[in-house]
Amino acid sequence: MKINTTLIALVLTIWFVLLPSAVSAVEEHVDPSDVAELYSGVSLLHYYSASLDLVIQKNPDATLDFLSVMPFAHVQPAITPHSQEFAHSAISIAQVLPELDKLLVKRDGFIADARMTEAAETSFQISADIKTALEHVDSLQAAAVLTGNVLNVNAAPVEGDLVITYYDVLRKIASIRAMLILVQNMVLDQNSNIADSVGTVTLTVGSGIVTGTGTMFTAAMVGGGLYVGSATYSITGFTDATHLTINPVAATAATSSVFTILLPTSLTLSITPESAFVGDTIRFEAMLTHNGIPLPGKKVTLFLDGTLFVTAVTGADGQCSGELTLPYWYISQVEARALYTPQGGDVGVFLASLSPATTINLSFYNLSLTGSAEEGHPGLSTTIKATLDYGTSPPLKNRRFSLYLDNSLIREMTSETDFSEMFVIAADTTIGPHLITISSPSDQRYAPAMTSFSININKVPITLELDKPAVVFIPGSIKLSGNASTELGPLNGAKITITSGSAKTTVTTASDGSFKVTMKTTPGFYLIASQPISIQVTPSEPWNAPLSEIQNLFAVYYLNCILIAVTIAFFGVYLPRRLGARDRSPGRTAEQIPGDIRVALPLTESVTSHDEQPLQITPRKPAQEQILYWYAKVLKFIQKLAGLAPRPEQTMREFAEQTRTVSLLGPVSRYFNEMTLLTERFIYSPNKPTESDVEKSRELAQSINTEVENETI
Amino acid sequence: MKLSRIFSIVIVLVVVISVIVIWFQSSVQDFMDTNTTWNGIKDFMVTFNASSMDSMAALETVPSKSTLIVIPSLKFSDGDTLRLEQFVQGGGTLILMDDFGYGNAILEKLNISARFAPGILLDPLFCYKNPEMPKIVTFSPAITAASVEAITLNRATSLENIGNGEVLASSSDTSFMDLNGNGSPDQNEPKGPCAMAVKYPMSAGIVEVVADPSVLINTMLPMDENTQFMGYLLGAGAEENDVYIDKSHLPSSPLDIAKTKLIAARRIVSNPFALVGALALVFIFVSLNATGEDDKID
Repeated sequence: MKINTTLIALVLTIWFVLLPSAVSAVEEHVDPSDVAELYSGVSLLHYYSASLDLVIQKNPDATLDFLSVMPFAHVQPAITPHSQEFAHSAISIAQVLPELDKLLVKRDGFIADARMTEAAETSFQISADIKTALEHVDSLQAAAVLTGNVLNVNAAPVEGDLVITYYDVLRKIASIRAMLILVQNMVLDQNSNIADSVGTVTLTVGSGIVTGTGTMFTAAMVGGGLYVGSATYSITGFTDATHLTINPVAATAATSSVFTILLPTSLTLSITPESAFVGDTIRFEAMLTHNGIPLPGKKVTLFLDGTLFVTAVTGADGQCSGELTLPYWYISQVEARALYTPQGGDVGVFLASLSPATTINLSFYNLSLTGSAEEGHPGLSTTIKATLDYGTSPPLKNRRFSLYLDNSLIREMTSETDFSEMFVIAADTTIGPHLITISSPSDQRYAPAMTSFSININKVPITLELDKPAVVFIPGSIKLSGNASTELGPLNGAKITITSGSAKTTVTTASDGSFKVTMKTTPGFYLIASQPISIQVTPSEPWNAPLSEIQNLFAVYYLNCILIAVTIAFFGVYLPRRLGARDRSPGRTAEQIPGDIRVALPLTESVTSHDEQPLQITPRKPAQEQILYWYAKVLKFIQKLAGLAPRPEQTMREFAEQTRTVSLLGPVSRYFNEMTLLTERFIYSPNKPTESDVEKSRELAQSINTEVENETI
Repeated sequence: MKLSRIFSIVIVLVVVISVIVIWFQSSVQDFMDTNTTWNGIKDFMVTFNASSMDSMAALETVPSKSTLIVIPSLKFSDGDTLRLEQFVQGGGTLILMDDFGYGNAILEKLNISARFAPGILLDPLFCYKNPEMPKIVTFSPAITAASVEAITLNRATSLENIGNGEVLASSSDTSFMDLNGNGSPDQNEPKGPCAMAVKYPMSAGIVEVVADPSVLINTMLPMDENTQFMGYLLGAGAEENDVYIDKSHLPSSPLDIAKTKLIAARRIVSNPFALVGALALVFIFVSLNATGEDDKID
C-alpha cells in the first residue's frame, strides 16, 4: 500500500513538474474556440459610408475592391443579407456613374454634329441607365435601413457614433440619388436644346399654330422639325416670320424659351462594282437631298467600316462621285457609308444624314501556311518545315517569310514553295515548350500569312553505365568506372562528381565517355549496410542534361564486424567462462563450491580426453552436501552421455532405472543406479551419511569416470 | 522485502514511467513541433513536411535553397544572426514571423528597413469572432493567384517602414493599431490598411516578414486560406522544398527539454556501438548473477 502511494505521488510530481511552464507562457495568441463573439455595428456603418465615398467619387474599381470583401465581414447573421445587398447595389451604382458621364460626352458630340437621331438614342440610353441606377439606389437605401433596424439604431443615443454614422450613410445615399436625378433633368432639359436655340415659341392646346417671339421664321423651315421640351413636331407650313404650322397639334400648352428648327437631309450611296480585289479602284456616287431637293455644294464623306476614306462635294444636282482605291484589308466584306454633317452656315439649318450601308465584297489571294519542327536542344540546330498552300491562287514569287522563336526573330528568307529551314537554338534557351512563328507579310493581292506551332526544347538525357563492385569493404576504397553517353554519342569532357558520405571526388570523362575513379570510403557505425553514392554528371555541352542519381553499394564495415565479434566473444563467451573458472579456482571460498571439492573429472566436458587429477574433499562441509554434489555431477554427465533428461514426474530411482535401458552406458548405469540409491537414502530418510558414504559416492563417480576413460562404453 | 530492494524497484519504476510520460505526453508549449494541442505546430510540420532545428549551427548543413522559419521569441545572439544572414545570402528563404518578440533586432542586423510595429492590430469588422483575430483580405496579385482570398491572424501586430519591400498582405481599412490596449481606435493610433506580410529580395535569397507567427498553430492553420498562404510563402524562393523551423529561439518547458533529450538519447542508443555497450552491460550483469546462482546446490 505504501509503495502504491509512493508511486502515485511520484507520477503526479513528474507530471506537474513537466507541465507548469505552459501556464506561464506569454499570450501571443488566444484559443479561437474560447474567443467571445463581438460585433461592431459602428464599424460596419463606417465601412458603408466609406464605400459610398468611393461611389460618389465615381471610382468603380476602388468601390469593387472595397466592397467585394464584404462576405468576409464579421456581422450578425441577421445583417448578412443586407450587407451583401448593400455591397451589390453600391458596386452597381459605381459602375453606372462613369458610364453615364461617357454617354453624356458622347451625346454632346452628336449634338455638336447635329446628329440628332444618335443624340436622341443616346439620351434614351442615358435615361434608361439612370432609371436602373435609381433602382439600385432604392436597394441601397433599403439595405442600409434594414441594417440600421437590426442594429437598433432608433434605440441608440442620438449623439452616439452609431446614430451619427447611420445618418451619414443615409445622407450619402440621398446625395447619390440627387446626383442621378440632376443628370436626368439635365438630359431632359437638353433634349429641348438639341441645337442652337433662337427666341421663344408658344404652343396652344389643340392648336397647330406656333407663335414665335424674337425670331424670324422662313419658308425653308417647312419640312423641318420643331423641338419643344421633349416633344417633337413637324413643320408643315409657313405663315409669316412669327407663325408656323406644326403637326401634330399641341397636346399641352407650352412656352419654351428655346427652340430649334432643322431641315432633314437624305443621303444615298452606290458603289460600282460591288466586288473587287483589294487595291482595286472602285467608283462611288452619292446624292444629298432635302425633301427631294438636291443640296449642292455640301461636303460628303465616305467611310469604309467606319474609317474615313474620301471626301467629295456635291454638285448642282446634289450628287458627288469619285474613285476609291480599296484598302489592302484582307477581309471578305467591308461596309461603305456616306455621311453628311452640316458645316459652316449649314449648322443650325440642316440635319446630318447617313446613307444606308453598302456592302463591298473584297477578294484577295490567301495562303494556307502550316509548319512543324523537330524537338530541339539548346546549342544544337533543328529544322523547321513550312508547307505553303495557295489553293487555286497563283503562288507569289520570292515571297518573304520571317521565322520567330517566341518573340525573337531568328531568320528572314524568301520562298515560293514549301521550305525547310535549319537554325541553331541558343545555348541559354530555357528548356520546355516554345513557340515558333512563321509569318509572311501581305503583298498587294496576297494576304499576310502566319502560323504558330510549338517546339519542344529539351536537353538530351545522359545514360550512365556504372561498373561498381559487388561488395565494398569499409574502411578501404571504392573503385568505380563506367561510361557516360547520350543518344547523340559518347559524353566527352563531362565532369562526374561522386559523393559517398563526406568523401567526394571528381573525374572528367574521356573522349569515348569512359571514366575511372577510386575514392576513399567513409567510416560509419554500421556492420553491413547499403552505402549510397551520389553521382552527378555535369556535361560540358549545353544540349546535354545534367544527371544526378544515387546508387547503392553493398558495404561491409569489416572493422566494425570484427570489433562487435570480439566484444560479443569477450562478454558472451570469454568473460562468463573466465568468471566461472574463477569460481572453481583454488582461491575461491568453500561457500562458492559446495564442499570445496576440487574435481578434475571431465564429467561435464568430454568423455574422451581429459586429465585426471586427484580428488580433494574438504571435510569441513557436511557429508550429505558432498554426496549431493557428486550425484549432481554424475547426473549431469549421464544426461549428456545418454541423451536423457529426468521428466518432472520421475523419481530419482525411476530415472536411474531408465538409464539401464540405454545399452551404451553399460556398467556406468549400474554405478549410477548404485549412486542414486545411496543419495536417495540420505535425502528421504533421517539417516546421516558418514565419511565412508561420502567416499563411496566419490568412488562411484570415479568408477564412472574410469569406465569412460577405458572406453568401455 | 528489504528496503534497498523496494528502493531499487521504485527508482526503476520512476525512470520507466517518466520516460513513458515524456514520450507520449504532448507538449503544450507555444509553437512546439510535438504539441498537438491548439497552440502547437504539429499539423504544420506534417502538412509541409517540415523539420525542426534545435540549433542555428545546424543551418550550415542544410541545402542552400531551403526555407527557414524563425519565430524569435528569444533573443538572437550575434552568431545566430550572422548564420541567418549567411543562409539568406547563400540563396535560402527566411520567413521571419513575429509579433511581440525580437524580430526587429534581426531586421536591423539584416539591414532591412521594415519593423514590427508596437501594439496589437485590431479589426472590428474583418475578423473571426473578435477584433483580436483579424482577417486579412487584401493581397498582392501573386498571392491572389495562389487562391488566397482571406487569412485569419491571431493577436497580430503590423509592419512599418516597408521601404522597397513588396507588400504581400495588408489589413483592411477598418483595422487599427491598438497602442494603449483600450480596444478602441484613438486619435494617435495608426489606422489601416497596415502591411502584414512583406517580401524582400536579399542577395541570392529572400526574406519574408510576417507580422504574426500564430498563423502556424494547429487551430489557425486550417482557418480560411492560411495553409495556402503559408504554402505560397514557403514556395517563394525555394527550388528544393526543404522546410525547417527554428526551435532554438522558442521558450521551452521542462517537458520539451526532456523530450529533446529523450529523442537525442534514443538516437544515441540506436547507434550499433551504443547497443553493443548496452548488451555488454547486460552480459556482465547476467553473467555475474548466473555464476552466483550456479554456486548453490539446494
